[in-house]
Amino acid sequence: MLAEIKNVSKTHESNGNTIQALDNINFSVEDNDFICIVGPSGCGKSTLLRIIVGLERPTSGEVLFKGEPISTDNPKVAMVFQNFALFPWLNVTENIELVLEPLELRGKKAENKACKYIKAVGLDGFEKVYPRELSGGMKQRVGFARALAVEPVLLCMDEPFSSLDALTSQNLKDELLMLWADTSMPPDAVIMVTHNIEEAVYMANRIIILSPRPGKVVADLRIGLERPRNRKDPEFYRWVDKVYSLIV
Amino acid sequence: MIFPKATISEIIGLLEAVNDSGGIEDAARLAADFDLDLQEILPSIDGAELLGFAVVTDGNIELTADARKLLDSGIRERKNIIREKVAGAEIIKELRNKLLESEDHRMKKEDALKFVQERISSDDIESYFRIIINWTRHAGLIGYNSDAEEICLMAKA
Amino acid sequence: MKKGYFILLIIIFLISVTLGFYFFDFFDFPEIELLPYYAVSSFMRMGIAYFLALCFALSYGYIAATNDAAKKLMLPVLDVLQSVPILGFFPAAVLLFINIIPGRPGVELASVFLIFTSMAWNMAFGVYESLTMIPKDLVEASDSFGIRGWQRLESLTLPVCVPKLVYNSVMSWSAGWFFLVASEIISSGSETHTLPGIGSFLIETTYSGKIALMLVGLSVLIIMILLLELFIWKPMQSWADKFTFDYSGEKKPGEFIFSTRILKNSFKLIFETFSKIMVVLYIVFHKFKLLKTILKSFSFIVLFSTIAYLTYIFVNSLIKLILILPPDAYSIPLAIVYSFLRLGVTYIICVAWTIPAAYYIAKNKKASSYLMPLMEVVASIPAIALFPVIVLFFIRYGDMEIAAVILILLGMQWYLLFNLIAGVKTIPGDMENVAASFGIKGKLYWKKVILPAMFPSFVTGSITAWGGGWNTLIVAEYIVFKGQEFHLFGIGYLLDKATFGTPDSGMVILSVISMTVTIIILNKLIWQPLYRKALSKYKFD
Repeated sequence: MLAEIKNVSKTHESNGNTIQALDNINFSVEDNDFICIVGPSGCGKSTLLRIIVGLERPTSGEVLFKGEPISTDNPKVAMVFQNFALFPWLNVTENIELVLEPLELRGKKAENKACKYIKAVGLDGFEKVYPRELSGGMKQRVGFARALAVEPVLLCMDEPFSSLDALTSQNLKDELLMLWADTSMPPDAVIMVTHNIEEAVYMANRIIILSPRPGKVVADLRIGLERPRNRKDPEFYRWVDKVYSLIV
Repeated sequence: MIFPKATISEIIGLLEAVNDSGGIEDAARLAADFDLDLQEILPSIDGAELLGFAVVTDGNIELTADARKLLDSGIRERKNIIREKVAGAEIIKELRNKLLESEDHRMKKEDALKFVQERISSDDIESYFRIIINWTRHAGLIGYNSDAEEICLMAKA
Repeated sequence: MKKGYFILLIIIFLISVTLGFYFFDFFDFPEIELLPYYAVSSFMRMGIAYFLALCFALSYGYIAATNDAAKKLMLPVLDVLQSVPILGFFPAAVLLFINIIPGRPGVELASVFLIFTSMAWNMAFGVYESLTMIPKDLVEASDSFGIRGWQRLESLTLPVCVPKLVYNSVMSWSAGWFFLVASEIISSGSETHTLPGIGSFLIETTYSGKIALMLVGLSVLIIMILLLELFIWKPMQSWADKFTFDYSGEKKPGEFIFSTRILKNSFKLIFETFSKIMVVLYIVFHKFKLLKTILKSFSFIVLFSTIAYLTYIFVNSLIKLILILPPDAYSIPLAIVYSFLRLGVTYIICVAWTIPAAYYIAKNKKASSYLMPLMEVVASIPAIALFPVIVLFFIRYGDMEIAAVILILLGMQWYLLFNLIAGVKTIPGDMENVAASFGIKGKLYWKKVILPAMFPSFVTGSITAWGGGWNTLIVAEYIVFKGQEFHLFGIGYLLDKATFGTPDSGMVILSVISMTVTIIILNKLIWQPLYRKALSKYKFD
């Protein structure tokens, strides 16, 4: 078992009202899990992801990573952001080297590692380019390369494709799955939050469905589709329909 | 000459979608699948055609053998195929030759813009320039240094 | 909520202290009876100057934004005007006004003029910027609905200026208070013209050693500033919010202790009346071609003759200067170096404390809830009003140099601090998340994340801080206290000496010109390239 989400609840205070965002969430993450968390907007799925990576504390319950309570800066857990979150004053390589420095990787070592993951996501040729010159697809590739460069065991992604145009996100999803299929590459497990059900069925081998506020686990499905998956396949659509029916 | 305003990522995304439909798909239906207007995917279709990855007849997009090879390859191998194809595009071939002729294999951005303007007449030459650089960087052929504002040939990796 | 209460609390405290002095005659000063009259006079000066600045800003900005040919001349002129140390020109302006209109009206006019010059330029830039940044779709929309001419003026042109005008008005008023204090006592040569007002009251009481009285005056000034803040600027800012193009829909936290609807409605009424008047003027202007030509030629003649007159004076004195260079002229370069070093040292002190302070205040919600209003209150006190006290203290117990540095610090630091706080607050939350989740902290966090993120606001803050610094320099390097002269060598001293000590109009002009040139060179060489770099490389999308 890689990670365990145990009895996690979260309430927000706003204007004196308490709003319950998450209600007693339980599940565990195993090796080779590609989990997509889906649910209607406002069900607290992004909050849940932030709790899993340690950016927020749950009101009650806990998140264990390899048996230990999660800490925010755990290098074995890395995060990919919806709006890329790249530093505009650092070029592609520097953006990646920045996250290697806390791991005591500097100079040539850091350069080699950054280079390795730049190549892995197909960014070679863009090493010295600043984020503002990159298209959305390229920016998110940097986001992937940065997260992979710390060689995490668990990769967490918050709506990584929703800021991209449709065709680019199609391309990036396929490339991400290629990286996932490559067993020599980190991570061992992925948790991805998305509002797009087809995307979830296309990517995941496990889908966790949350209910509207307060978010509760409604279903935890294993997607038995073969890879590579085809969106035009009737079997694919049966799965999409099934997830839809559980959400509404 | 027209040059399609589509990034390499968009073009590959389009090819993947056509591949899902069995290698041939109606352009309008494809657009509808993505909740897009036909107008919005046209540049990507033109780009796929220009790079020899697709043939368009009567509004049907059909993948070429090269496209299938591209889609069956991993990220590293894809880069090589793209490199070959982008190098074959007319305007990029000319630009490379011009850079090869020049002494230090460099060119000022304004000269490059002029070069592009001569071939693609447009009042939005800047965005064509960005797309061309997107292609050539992807292919590892021509890079652009935004601090020095100049383009240069990239050393073969 | 808290901020409003806080400011109100300070006001009540100051009022009760002041009233205490007033009624219980702790000190038997007859002058205290005149304080309300002084306060009202000063306020009137500010109000008139502001109204003129507003009219100037609207017309100047409008013409610059709509007339391409005019723009080429108007923008650089505005740029130069903005970088001129206004205080330096003041004595010359006073002489001019007194020559044209003798007696108190002339002095009043000079004072209003000085305050005007401290208010007008940034507002004009604000109007220009808002007009050039109207989203294209809005212009197209109004075109497609056939909204033209006066209708467009009422429905689009005036409203878009509101947010920046309000923001710049606040800036202008705080600059205005500074110059108000400076402008109410005007010495030209052997003559000293004193205008009744809170500024002259402060300076006179200090120099005659009536410190308690001066403190009462100071609290009256602060009360005025805070009342304006509470009842005019804050409600006006929240009223202006509805004119912004920001559709993010995020509501700003209410900072008010009372309902501002009545105030907001009155702003609305004033604004509507104002725009109605503008519209009527516009229609009249366009209907009667004759009137238009007459007005145009009239304003042209006025403009032309003023420029001609000023150029005449300028060239005349310049020629005189070149023929007989004043002996002090040779010490100008060295004086500029001295002043520059003085500013530089102060600036380094500013930077050293404001960067960590801004980060702390912006990041600490609890601390900032009481620190911010406190800082704003302290910052609202015009530095110049405190100067006499500081000088008094340091002449007795220390060194004039320290007094000058402290005064310049007061004139510089707030610009930097508030800009930096705003800068830290605009750092996207995701950037913090990246830093937290990838374990970027300590030195690395400051070097690669926070400092670069603060860079744009650091540059804008520094530009205004240096502008404030040069102006403060003029009052900081030379002071006459109880008939005794104290000074520090520098360009401000040379200027003041030529104005107040041994009058020498040639030296005044030379010092102001060399100061202006220095400022412009510094702007072109240092700040503008940095600003461009900040915009291109360090801005978040």
